[in-house]
Order: sequence, then structure tokens, then C-alpha cells
Amino acid sequence: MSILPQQKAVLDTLTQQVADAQNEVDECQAIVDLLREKAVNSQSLLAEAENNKTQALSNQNLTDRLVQNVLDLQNNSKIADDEMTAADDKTKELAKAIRVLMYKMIRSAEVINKLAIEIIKKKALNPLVSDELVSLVTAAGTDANNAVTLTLLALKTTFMATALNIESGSAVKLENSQATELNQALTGDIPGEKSAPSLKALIYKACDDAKAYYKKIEKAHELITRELAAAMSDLIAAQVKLKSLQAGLVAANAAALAS
Amino acid sequence: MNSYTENLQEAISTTLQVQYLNHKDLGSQAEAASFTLKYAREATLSTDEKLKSATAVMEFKRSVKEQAGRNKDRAANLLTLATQADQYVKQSVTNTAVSASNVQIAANAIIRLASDVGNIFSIIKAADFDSDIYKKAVEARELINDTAYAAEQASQMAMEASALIAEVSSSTVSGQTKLINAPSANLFNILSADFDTSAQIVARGTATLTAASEKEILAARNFEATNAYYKAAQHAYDMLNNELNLGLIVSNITATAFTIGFNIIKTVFDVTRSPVKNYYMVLVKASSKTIFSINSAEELFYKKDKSFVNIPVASGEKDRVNKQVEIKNIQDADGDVIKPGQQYVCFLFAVYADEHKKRLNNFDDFLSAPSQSFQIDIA
Repeated sequence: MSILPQQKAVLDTLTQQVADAQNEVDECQAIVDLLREKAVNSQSLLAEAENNKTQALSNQNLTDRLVQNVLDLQNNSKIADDEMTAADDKTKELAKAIRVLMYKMIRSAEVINKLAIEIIKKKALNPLVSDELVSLVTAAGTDANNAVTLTLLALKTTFMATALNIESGSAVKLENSQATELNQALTGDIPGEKSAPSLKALIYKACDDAKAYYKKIEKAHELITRELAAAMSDLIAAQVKLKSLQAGLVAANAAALAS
Repeated sequence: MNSYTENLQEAISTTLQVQYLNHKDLGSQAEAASFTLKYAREATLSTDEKLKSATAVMEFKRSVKEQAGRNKDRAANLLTLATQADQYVKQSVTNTAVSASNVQIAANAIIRLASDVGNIFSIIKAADFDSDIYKKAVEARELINDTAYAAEQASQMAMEASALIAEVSSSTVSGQTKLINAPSANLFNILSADFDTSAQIVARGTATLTAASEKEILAARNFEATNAYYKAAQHAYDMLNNELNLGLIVSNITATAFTIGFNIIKTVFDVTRSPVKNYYMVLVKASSKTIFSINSAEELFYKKDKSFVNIPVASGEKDRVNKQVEIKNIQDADGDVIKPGQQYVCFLFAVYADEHKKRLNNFDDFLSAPSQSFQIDIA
């Protein structure tokens, strides 16, 4: 049993082709394996980027709401401060008025008391002075004492209230200035100060960055997916070729040996 | 050619073919290893890049966290301040109300006194007292009336002050600071956790980079080894070719020409003289290389086939010949024109001098084993 030179040529060529096809399959397989690993990687990166984006957006929303609340607070603090200032001014005015009233009251009481003494003296000298006048004058003396006492009480409480109002005023003012500062620090509108970016600016930047990063990763992932698909189809083509060559070789061998 | 020589030539062909396949196989392996190395290197680079960007992200998140921390502290401070201010204002409201009520009471007492004084004045005026008492009564009446008026005004003012202080919206402000404090703390917690995650990513990235560069080193070693085997196989092939096949090499292949190189054939017992009259080169399709034999070569040659290209060798050339061959005007052993893309091998055909043939009483000529296959470049 011998193999003819022509048959040998065919068998040799086929063997060579099978070896080449096997090599091609191996190469394609290596590329597919690597791309598949890359695709898995980029898939997880994509998921991560999406999470980042969602988180950044949620942070941005939280910040927006916070910024709005702080702005409201700043406005309301200003209103409260103005209201407090108005109340404070009025109390100070009142205090002044009460002080003047007090002096006037004391002077009036003194004059009334003197008048009462004069009338009572007169009554002692002249019994014709009416009893009613004397009793009226006595009552007026009591009422004057009472009025002085009550005015004094009013004076005391008004001054206490005024003092406290001054303290309240400064507390409200401090709160107002801190609210303004918070708003400025949060939104970055600090006049004449450009050192550190504000929290709002940072969070907006984080959100923009997260969006851009997501887009980039999405693109890369698409590219790898396409590359993988192409490599897979190459691999399948190479496998098909290898199979058919292997079958061809087996058949050719059988034919050569049979002849 | 006698059967000894024939057997030798076949052995040479087979040996070269086996080595050629081995060489080709190793070449594929080296290519695969170079791919793996390339990807491993890429992985290291991208891991390194990722680590760098992760570090930058971490630094950024640190600054965000710090700002959020300051924001949180401010908000907390503001809550305290607003609560205190509200407490102060509430106390002020109470105190001012007390003051207003006291002023009202005092004013009532003063008015009552004024009415007393009014009655006294009426009686004094009617009773026609002496002018001194009358004058004093007039003064008392004027003073108390003025005081009563001032008291009315003060009372009015106290009422206004009480209303104004009650209007101060400190409780609204205090409530709003609560709406700021909690979200600020919440935002800080989120950003702080975000920073922690980022720091962990950086830590993990450092570990990954180490692993990736280890992988790269392994791939590089593997490539080095595979490439060395490939080079060795190439070297072995060259050695075999050199020793057994006259070092037949086709090189400098372009679209129009290539160079054929070979060692001059010498007789074993007299190395100074070459027994060869003429050298010829013939191109054979690579697929037919195993069936192209001395017999087919001689048959074609003596038919003066155009595929045989004479390679003139000057008598001065003692050891090795390199000759450029133009591709146009030649054809392969099947009589086809030389086409780019087709795989060819080159055979060297030597016609021995008649003297040599006579002495050996062997009138066969010499056919080398095929060269490595090659293809003509596309112009």
C-alpha cells in the first residue's frame, strides 16, 4: 500500500492547513478571552459609574433643597431682625417716655401734696372751708401716692423689658448674620473672597464630573462590546474552517489508504 | 541520481519540513504570548491610570466632605443661635406685655388723680379762695393734666411695643433652622461615607495595581521564554538548512525582485574545485513542494522549460553566492506567471560538469530541498 506523490501533496497541504487553522483558532480564542474579561470589567465599571451618577444627582437635589431652605432662612432672619429692631426702637422710645412721665408724676404729686397741706392749714384757720374739699384733698393725696408707686413699677418693668429686648435684638441679629454667612459659604457668593469653592459649586462639579464619566465609560463599554462581537464571529469562522479542514483531512487520509 | 542520493535528499526534505512546522508552531505561540503581554501591559497601565484618577477623585471628595463638615457645623451653630434668640424673644414678649400692663395701670391711677385734682380745682374756684391757693391749684391742675396726657401716650406706646415684639417671627426662623440642620447633617453623612468609599477604592486600586504588574511580569517572562524557543527554532532551521540544504535562502523580497542565496556545491574529496557547470533556480507553488522531485525537475529542465532561471556563478566565488532575480519574465514550474499573494518555494537545480558525471558514472544532476515558503509583495 503506497501513497502516490499527488495524494501525498494533498495530504501534506491539508495537514499544513489544519495546523494553520488550529493556530488561527487559538489566536482568536485568546483575543476573545481577553476581550470578554475586558467586557466584564467595563460592565462593572459602567454599573459603578451609574451608581455614582445617581448618588451625585441625589446629592445635587439635596443641596438644591438645602440652598433654597437656607435662602428662605436668610430672608426670614432678615425679616425677624427688622421686626426686632422695630420692637426694640419702640421699647426704647417707651422707656424714654416713661422716664419723662415718672418725673412729671413726681413733680405733680409734690405740687398736689403742697396744695393739700395749704388747704388743710386753711381749714384749721377757717372752718368754713368745706369738708368735702378736705376729704377730696385727702383722697387725692392717697391717689397721688398710689400713682407714683404704680408709675415707678411701670418704669421698672419697662426698663427690664427694654434691657431684655436689647439682648433679644442682638441674639436675633447674630442669628441673621450667621444665616447670611451660611448662605454665602454654601453658595459661594462671598464678596471679595475666592479662596475655597463653595459646597454648592463642589457638589455641582461632582455631578457634572459623574455625568461625564458615565458617558465616557458607556462609550468604552459599547466599543468593547462591539470588538468582542467581532472577535467572536472571527473565532466562529476560524472554528468552522478548522472543523471542515479536519474533516477533509480525515476523508483524504481514508481515501489515500483505501486506494 | 542514485538511490543513496535520493534517500539523502528525501531525508533532508523531511527534516527541514518537520523543523519548519515546529518553527511555525512556535511562531504562533510567540505571537499569542505577545498578545497576552500586550494586554497585561495595557491592564497595568489602565490600572495605574485608574488609581491615579481614583486618588484625584478621593482628594476631591475630601474637599467636598470638609466643606460639608463646615456647612454642617454652621447649620448646627445656627440652630443653637436661633433657638436662643427665640427664647430671648419669647421672654421679651412676656416682659414687654407685663410692662405694657403696668404702664396701663399707672396711667389709670394718674387719670384718677387728675380727676381728683379737677374736682378740687372746681371747688377752689367756686369757693373763691385766696389767690395763693388758687394759683397752686391751677399749677397742680396743669401739671397733672400734662402728666395724664403723657401717661396716655406712654400707655399707647407700651401697647404698640408689646404688639411689635409679639410680631417678631423668631419662632419661624427657629423652625427653619431645624429644616437646615438635619439635611446638612444628612448631606455631610452621605458625603463622608462617599469619601470613605473612595478611600477604600484607592486602597483596593493600589492592591490591584500590584497584582496587575505581577501579572504583567509573568506575561513578559512567558513571552520572553516563548520568543526564545521561537528564535531557537528559527536558528535550528537555519542551521539545518545551512548544513543540509546549501543554506538556500530567499530574501529581500519586493514586488519586482528577490535575492537567492546558497553555498556553492563542492566535492567532498577535493574542496578547491566545484563540480557544477551551471546553477538554476526554479519557483514551485508551496502546495506542490513535496511532490517536486529530481525527476520532474530534470524532465522540465531538458525540455528547456522557461521556469528554470540560470544563476551565473563567477569562478572567483568560492563559498557563497547571493544573486538578485527579477520576477518579470519568469514563471513557476507549472508554467504559471508569478502572482503576488501565492505561496512559493524555491529549489536550486545544479547541472554537474560532464567530467564529474563521467568520473562518478552517474549522469543525474542535483536538486536541493525547498526553501522556506514566501510570497511576492503586491506592487
